[in-house]
Amino acid sequence: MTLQHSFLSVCILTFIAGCDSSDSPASAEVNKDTTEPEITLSTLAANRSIYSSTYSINGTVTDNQEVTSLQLKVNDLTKNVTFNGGDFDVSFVLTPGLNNYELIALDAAGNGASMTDSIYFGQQVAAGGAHSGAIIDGQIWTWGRNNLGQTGVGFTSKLNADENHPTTPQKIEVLDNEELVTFTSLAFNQNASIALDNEGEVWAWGDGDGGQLGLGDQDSVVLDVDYYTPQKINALKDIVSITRGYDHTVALDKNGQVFTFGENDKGQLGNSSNEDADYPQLVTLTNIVLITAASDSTYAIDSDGTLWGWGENDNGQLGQGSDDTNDYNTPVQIPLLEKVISVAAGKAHVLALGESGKVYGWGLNASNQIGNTVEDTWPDEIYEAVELPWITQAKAVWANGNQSFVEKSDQLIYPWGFNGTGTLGLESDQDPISPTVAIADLNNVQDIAPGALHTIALRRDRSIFSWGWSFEGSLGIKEPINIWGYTVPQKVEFNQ
Amino acid sequence: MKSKLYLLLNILLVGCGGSDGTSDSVVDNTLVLGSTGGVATVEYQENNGFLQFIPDLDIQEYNGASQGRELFIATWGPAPGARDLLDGYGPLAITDSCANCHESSSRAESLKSDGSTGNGILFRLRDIEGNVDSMLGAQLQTYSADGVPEGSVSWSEGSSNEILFHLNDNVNALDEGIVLAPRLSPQLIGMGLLDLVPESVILEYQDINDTDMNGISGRANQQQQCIGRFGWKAIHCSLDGQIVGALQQDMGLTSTLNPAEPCSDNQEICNIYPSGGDPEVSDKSVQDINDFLTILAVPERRINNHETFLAGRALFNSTGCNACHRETLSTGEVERFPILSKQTFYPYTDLLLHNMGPELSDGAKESGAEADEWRTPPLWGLGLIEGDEKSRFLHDGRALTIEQAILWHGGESESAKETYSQLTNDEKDALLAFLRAI
Repeated sequence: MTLQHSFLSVCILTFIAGCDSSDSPASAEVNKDTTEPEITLSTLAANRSIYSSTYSINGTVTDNQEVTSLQLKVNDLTKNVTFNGGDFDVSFVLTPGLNNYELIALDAAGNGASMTDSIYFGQQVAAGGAHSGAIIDGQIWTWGRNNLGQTGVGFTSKLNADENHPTTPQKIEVLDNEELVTFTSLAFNQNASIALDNEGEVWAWGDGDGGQLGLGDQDSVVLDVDYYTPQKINALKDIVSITRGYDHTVALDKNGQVFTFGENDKGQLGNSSNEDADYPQLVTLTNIVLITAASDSTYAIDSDGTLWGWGENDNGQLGQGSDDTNDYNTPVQIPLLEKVISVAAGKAHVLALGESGKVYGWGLNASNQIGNTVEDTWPDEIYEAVELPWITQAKAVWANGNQSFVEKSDQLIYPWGFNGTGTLGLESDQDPISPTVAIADLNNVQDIAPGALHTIALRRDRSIFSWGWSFEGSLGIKEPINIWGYTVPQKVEFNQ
Repeated sequence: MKSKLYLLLNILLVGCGGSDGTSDSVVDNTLVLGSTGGVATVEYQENNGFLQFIPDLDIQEYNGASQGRELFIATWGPAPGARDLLDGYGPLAITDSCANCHESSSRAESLKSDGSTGNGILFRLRDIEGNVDSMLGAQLQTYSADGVPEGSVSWSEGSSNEILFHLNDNVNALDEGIVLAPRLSPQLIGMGLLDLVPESVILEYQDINDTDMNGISGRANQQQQCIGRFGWKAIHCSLDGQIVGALQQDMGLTSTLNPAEPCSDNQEICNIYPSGGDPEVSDKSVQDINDFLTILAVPERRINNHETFLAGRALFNSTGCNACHRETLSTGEVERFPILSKQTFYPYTDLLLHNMGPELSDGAKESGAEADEWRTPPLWGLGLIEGDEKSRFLHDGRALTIEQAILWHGGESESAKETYSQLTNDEKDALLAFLRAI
């Protein structure tokens, strides 16, 4: 979809005086070109979240005479953008959190035009097994299941037993050297939580099994202690992106290096070992721009758009053309027909978004989370990437458990796969076999966090909605029906 | 669910001549009708047709509808239950879920083929003076926590094709004069719109003494010191009132507005079994259910032949049906759902009580409505349920089709019924096509 925008004049014009005299003699000045260039972007991000450290924009710049320059300003950096026949295509590196960028075009007469947009690098909402979170104005809010301290409120609790159980959102203020920490990204899965702050440092709390909080030392003992408040992982620096599998954690640094820790029985740490690790392990990949994880496997996209995977392949989730019980404890390339710009993983299925806007899927398909035909011709396990015929021009993909979500070009969210607990937000008890029905009225979505059985969504107006399995306060609503599937998204209230 | 509203009729009226045996002269080809529910109109979907939300309502404006939906479809249980929010059912009740009586795409089964009655019908216990049964109270509850319900009801057809109801399995005989007064459960369409009609709009059609001499004398049920608008006898003035009434009488759930269990003074069981809270349904829950019902959209008309539809509408008016089945109502200013403000919609009811004669009298006066007085039921969506073999019409389900329902009309509507009977077959078909389309 092409979006036209109004163009703002920039105050660089040099011919202010003497141009407005209607009775002046015919001159070159009368015919002076006063028409501004026009910039058109193929897509506006409008603050939406992406999970890649690089972002590409493309579009056209035109003028009634000639465009002489096109510049991109992003995060205090300015770079010249080349354009051929008016078309331009430029990538730039994002910093965690909100990135504002501006395109400025000039023509030969000095007329200028600019347009601005912004994009958020990181996850602004999070959903684990049955706990949830959001970042609002740099601060973490959490709610839901807290049997292992995964909400970070400082204690463990249960919904029906503890008055202070975090049924509704609680603000988690974190101090570092007595300074309030500002956060940019969250990653919850199962019963552990991690957060990235604006200094590139990572904080972890909740279930410590298998060393997945990364708080141990470089010794032979795996620290598996649960922590009830966010703890800084001192071994990680300059991190730009975080993600979680079911029992392991993944971090990407600004140099494109991947670090992992936690359970490693399937080789999901990718460190040529099958030993659990409570200390960050370096994966032998370079120039990585995006990381994600399934239950026991891990995925990374490099700057060439190549997708890599490691860990479990029991259901063909490494896309190697077969399933096996080998532990792939070093990265293997996952064959795809085009460059990949995003990837999402559920328990054991994977969705890859190609630069063409096509989506590919592979791995477990028992709930039709990859997709199926009405004739039921797609198998329960798919061993190599298949193009999903229901989707073109996708803008984003998300997955967890046995469910999938795609944002199509109409900017609505289309879910498919497991729906037994209201997880997909559809007025149906059935598992949709393909993404053909959108979640009603859920437009302008900036970020989605699918949990095990519930889902959290952030909209452009900063409102946050939840739906799906209500367990121990997972939806963050007042008077929740516990152990119950909510079909219709409802707004989560934050009492500042 | 999201779809744009369409004004079907305003683009297809040019050049429509009468046919199908109808006269050109009765068809107003310049007619433009708005959408059935105003902004609250949705394209009908076969599955969950009565469970679609207002299309243009932003998800921010759902208020408590998500929670309300769950409370509506949930199966409630006796206290103490695993879920605090959903306990308190009984000890006397009819059923344990709202959705058991109000289905998402049809009417719940009422008169079963084996002679028993289903969730789609309940029974008030009243006499001609409005007295209730001294033991069983104002309504028969067919479930009891102690395993001894107040009774069950079977049915048979009388010699004039009327329905006869029989009380079975009852420990106590009904007081003398108390009858089983049947009440079919309606499909829930546009409940919010009807709730939001200002009382003054309803009173516009009130004509207690038939001063216009048209034979129709609608009157508002003001027994509750307000204008009744919900229920077969217009005994509830608001959607909240309807909700808490059903929660109490049908599910045994107390609320702030209805704090008592549905026991009479002579029934001990409500003092024996544990309560699910005080009240059992919180004010928030009632509001949530109200929000859910309010944002349910009205299905758009399903018109197969527009010419026939318009001819049928003209006949609907010329036969006098529209004297009670008022075509349009309108809402006032709506603070909680601003999108519903000042909406004109097409329910085909005046929400008033009318004398329907001995044919439809059930011998029970109820809360200000005489035994032969009935609130004009809305007609929208009738065509969507007629095709379902378990659907029935009129308060006791005696009509299997819309036409049968017309032919049972009496009292003030006798004249309209007679006029209908004299129509040609083509004209009847056109009128029925109109009714099925609205």
